Amino acid sequence: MIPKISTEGKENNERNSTVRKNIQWARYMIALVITIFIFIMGLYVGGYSTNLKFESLYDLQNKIRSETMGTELQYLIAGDDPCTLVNMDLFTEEINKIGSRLTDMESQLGVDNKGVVSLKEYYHLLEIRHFLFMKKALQECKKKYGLVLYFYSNAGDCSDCKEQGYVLSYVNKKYPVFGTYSFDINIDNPAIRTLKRYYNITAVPSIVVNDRTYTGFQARDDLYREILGKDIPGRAEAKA
Amino acid sequence: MLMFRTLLVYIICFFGIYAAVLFFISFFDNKNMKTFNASRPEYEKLPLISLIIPVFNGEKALRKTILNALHLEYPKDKIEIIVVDDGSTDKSYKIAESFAKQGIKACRLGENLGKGAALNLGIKRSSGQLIANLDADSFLDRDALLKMAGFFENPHVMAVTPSVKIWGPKNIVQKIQFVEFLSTAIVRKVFSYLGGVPIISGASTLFRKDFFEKHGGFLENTLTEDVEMSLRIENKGYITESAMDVSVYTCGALTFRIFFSQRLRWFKGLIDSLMIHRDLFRPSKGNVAVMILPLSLLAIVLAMTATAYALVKFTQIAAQNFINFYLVGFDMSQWFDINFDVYSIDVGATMILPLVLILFSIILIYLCRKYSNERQRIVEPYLLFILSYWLIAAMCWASALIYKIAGKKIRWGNRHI
Repeated sequence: MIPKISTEGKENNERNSTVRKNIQWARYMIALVITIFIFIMGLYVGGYSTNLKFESLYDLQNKIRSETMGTELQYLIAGDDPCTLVNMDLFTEEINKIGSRLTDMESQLGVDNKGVVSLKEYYHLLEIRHFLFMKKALQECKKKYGLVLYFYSNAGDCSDCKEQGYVLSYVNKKYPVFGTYSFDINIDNPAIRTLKRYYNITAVPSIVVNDRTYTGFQARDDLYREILGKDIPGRAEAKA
Repeated sequence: MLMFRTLLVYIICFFGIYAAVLFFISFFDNKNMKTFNASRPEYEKLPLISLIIPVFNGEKALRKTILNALHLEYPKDKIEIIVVDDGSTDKSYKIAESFAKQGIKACRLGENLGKGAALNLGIKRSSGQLIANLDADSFLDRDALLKMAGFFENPHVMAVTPSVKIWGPKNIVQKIQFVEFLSTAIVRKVFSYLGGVPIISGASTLFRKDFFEKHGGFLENTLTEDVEMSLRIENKGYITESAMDVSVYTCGALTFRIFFSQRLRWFKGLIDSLMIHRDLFRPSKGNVAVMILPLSLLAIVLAMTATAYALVKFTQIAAQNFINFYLVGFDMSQWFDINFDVYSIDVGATMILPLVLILFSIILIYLCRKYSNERQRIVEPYLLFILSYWLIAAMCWASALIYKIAGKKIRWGNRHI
């Protein structure tokens, strides 16, 4: 309830300038204590809700891990045609969801945030596991579907990475005939180190297409050519 | 960069919340609530008021302003209305003379010397114990003088200032000013409770004539004679009261250009006036020195820092988007492919604390509206204000500082100060 204002105002005349000029330390201290309380509450609520976000991302990653393992096992056991199981669509959608959520978390909490780094490490391991399974399955089933590995850094030491990431996801959206697995080279994990060594990743941005490594920024048209082995439809005719 | 952003958000929120809490506990202090209004003096005790209307090329609104002054609820034998023409080249003076039968006194300065000089001439010609000024494009609540006069029963009170408001805000600039002006109502009231400097309203304020006789009239070579007068009253150890429930309505700046140049003049005028009355920063001056001035200056510095950061960030994002757009051959098709993920909403402390601050600002505006008896619509103007004002104010402050440091003069009327 908002207090009612007196319309009498007789006490106004009792005040004098001396009272007004006294420094009101008590009032300032009370305001400070209340502010500190509100501020700490704000920090606590903020921290709590961020933790909830982390937890939901962990849950999503666990779900993907189970799905990936399930598909792998299905592939091994399958009596009919195991190749019908090799479907990239569902995985791509979910892995992209985690990827973009991790990017949001990074921009909100910073690339050095321990929670983000730990989630990202787990995410990269899921990617490697799925990549290896897909690579093997695609070869065995002789399916035509490109697999692209993208290595980047967002520690401020890669000026082209933002642009490369954007162009790659643009091409992927425009021509969804390949799957992209992105790796932050600053995540320190034995599996990622091995992957980097295997594909000879020495600088960022680097892109691996069909086991061939391209270092440095790759423009839109080059990417398309490297991944699909031909020019963008319509472009070749225009050139001719 | 992220650390800087987080730190900046925390500092702004901490001091913003602190100021809001201080405002709440001061406004709702029991003692203060009892003295919100002044008692109305009995008829015999009502002082003679001289209402001065300075005008410079204000023929469009002057007639309405004079009519408003004539219809004020105050005994006719206890009010004199003086229109001072500040060297107008239009029909302002003729309009003022045409009201001679209704008792309006008209006088004029030979040339345009500014509002301060016009007011001083009016004071010289006045016979009232109290002096009220009223801008030629503004009008007062009918019972304004009756409500304000009571505050002068306290002999330490030298000025009483009403709440300044925008009448019928129509365009975006007016709507932003509507909230800007309305928000100063509670600032003035709380500052008056704390014995600080409630910067008096330039559109209309009631003064004790004794003060001018003892400490001189308005400064004539300043950009903001009202601000200088507020600080002088404070510096001399007197009180300025805020009659929050009394309104003076004005139309405000009509375009962004006028709005910007007006703020530039006000802010540079404030800097000039603070330089004149720098004594006010001495701790012996009380609350004004230890809390009100430091908190106000900190708010300005933080607003400027936040604006500078936002502009740098905005430029970076715009440049990055342009580069990306270029790299995909200016293909616009992906612009329409928007997949909004609720998860992307930041729910951390850097989002929660600003929300608390915005909530407090809404409560403050609500209080301003309620206690200043404002009835005009507020929601849309508030949204415009909260989205843009910090940016506009910071840019005006930065410009005022540049003008001050570079020693550049600002044109006001026909003069450069």
